Amino acid sequence: MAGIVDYAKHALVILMFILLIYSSYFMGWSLSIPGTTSTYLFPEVKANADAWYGRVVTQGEMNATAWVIANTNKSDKFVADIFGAELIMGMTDRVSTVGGDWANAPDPVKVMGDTNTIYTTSDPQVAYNLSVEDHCQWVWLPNRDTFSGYDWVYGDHDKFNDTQYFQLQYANPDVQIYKVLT
Amino acid sequence: MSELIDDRALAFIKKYWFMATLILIICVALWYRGDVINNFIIPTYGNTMYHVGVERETIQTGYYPQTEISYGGGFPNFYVPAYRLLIVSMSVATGIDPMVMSGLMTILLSVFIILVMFTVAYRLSNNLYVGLFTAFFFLMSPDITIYTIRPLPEVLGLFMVPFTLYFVLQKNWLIAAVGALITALTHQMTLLVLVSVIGLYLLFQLIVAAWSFYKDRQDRENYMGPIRTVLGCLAPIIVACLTYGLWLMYTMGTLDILGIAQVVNHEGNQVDLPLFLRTGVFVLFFFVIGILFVCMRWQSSQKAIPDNKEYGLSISRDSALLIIAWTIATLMLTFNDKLLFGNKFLIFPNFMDRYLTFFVQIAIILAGFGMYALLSAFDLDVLKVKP
Repeated sequence: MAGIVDYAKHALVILMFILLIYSSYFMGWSLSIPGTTSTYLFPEVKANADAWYGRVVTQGEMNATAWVIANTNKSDKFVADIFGAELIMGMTDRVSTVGGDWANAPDPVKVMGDTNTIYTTSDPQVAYNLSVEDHCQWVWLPNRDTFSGYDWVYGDHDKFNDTQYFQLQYANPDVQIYKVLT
Repeated sequence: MSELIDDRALAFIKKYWFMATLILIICVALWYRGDVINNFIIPTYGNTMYHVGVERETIQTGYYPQTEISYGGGFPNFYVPAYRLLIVSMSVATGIDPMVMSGLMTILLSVFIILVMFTVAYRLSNNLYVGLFTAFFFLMSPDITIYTIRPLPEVLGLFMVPFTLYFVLQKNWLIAAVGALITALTHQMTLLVLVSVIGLYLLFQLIVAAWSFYKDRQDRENYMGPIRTVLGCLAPIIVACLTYGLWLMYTMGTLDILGIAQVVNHEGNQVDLPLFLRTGVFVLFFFVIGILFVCMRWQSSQKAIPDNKEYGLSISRDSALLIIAWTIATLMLTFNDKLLFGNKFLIFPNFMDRYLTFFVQIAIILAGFGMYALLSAFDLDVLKVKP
């Protein structure tokens, strides 16, 4: 027959497990990490893992992939940042300048740099020349910061309105798709 | 009358509380992972949609693509195919889009990871409570959570490592070899972890055999047992290496991978203290108790079994050696930037933060031992009864 002490022990153990779960998923506090200027945030599971749920790409970009399937060739290539490119390859199997597995890619660092420049330069001719050099027929221009392997940048969107080099083919509030003119 | 109902209720609780707790743990894991599919797209960090692209291509053409769709495409597809083919087969069988299926399989695989870690912890300790506490600590680790909410091959790898090691411990070399084969085709870093752990375990067994032979060469079984384990361990190691070698020859036409971008650019983040804490502060606290407990309690008898009168725990020599090999090998891989010879040594420094997750798995299991040790110290009577 269990006595009061046993019941108390069991209650304490259950309470400890509940507190552990609570501190990992619900209770906000922070811990200074010795020897560093960093702090470790609680609830530790949510504080660390929630960010990895990020989607980066937007609903409008997802909607645009249907247009890509219907209006581009399977062999067409896009200028796109890593997240846009992976959305394109995931939903349409089209290839982009960056994105995916760089392990075996020939000179991936160069195309990362090219893609970053295409988004950030304000000179439409520079963007055009690099797009042609990387054999791209399309530019994927999302209305968000892009990441091509260096920094998160919004870039210069106006240059793509230069109809000498690019032509707008699709637009929704989240993304514009330009044809690289030949 | 009320006493009878009380007794029945108590008997019901005693009979089912263990299973109910395990189900509750799985439910908490599922609750947090619901967001994997509760959106217009799966989580995208870690190239998840790239794998979906290869899966979609395979479904549409009926062939696993030999050339890449990454970084401009057109070069040999070097990535191992097992995870992608799993998603493809499930997608074809159910008609569910591969993007959605990869999210669903991530959730399912994370439950399997809990169950396989529960099973391995049980096998290492011969105690169900250690298994249950291990399942609980799975919920408490930020790092293992991060790698079980994203649809990546590594999530299958995190299942394959404990799965294969379970059969190594059971000395079922055939299934261990099959596990190693699947691992070799699942994820390159997982393959290196598995081969390193089994390799170190083999080395420890060899030392035990040599020591036993040196101490008493008349007691043949004492050193032949470890020798047989050493020979058995060669099976999964050889199968894993051969499989990966054949895959490399098939896709790249060479075994030389030292020139690939990930090696040349030393992809990976250094594991500093803030990153190491992502193991989980409570996991690490109980891990320390657990490793001390294992060092104090392991028994040299190879077939140690729990006391029949009172439910207990027993850690065989093989279990202790595997735990130590698993811990040391994954720690060495995690800190490969510090232990090895800079960038001149083979493929290192590389992927330090990715190897951390495999250390986290054994840390969680040892935290299970640690919790058992702590509660045993409180003389908790429930631990003395087999659930």
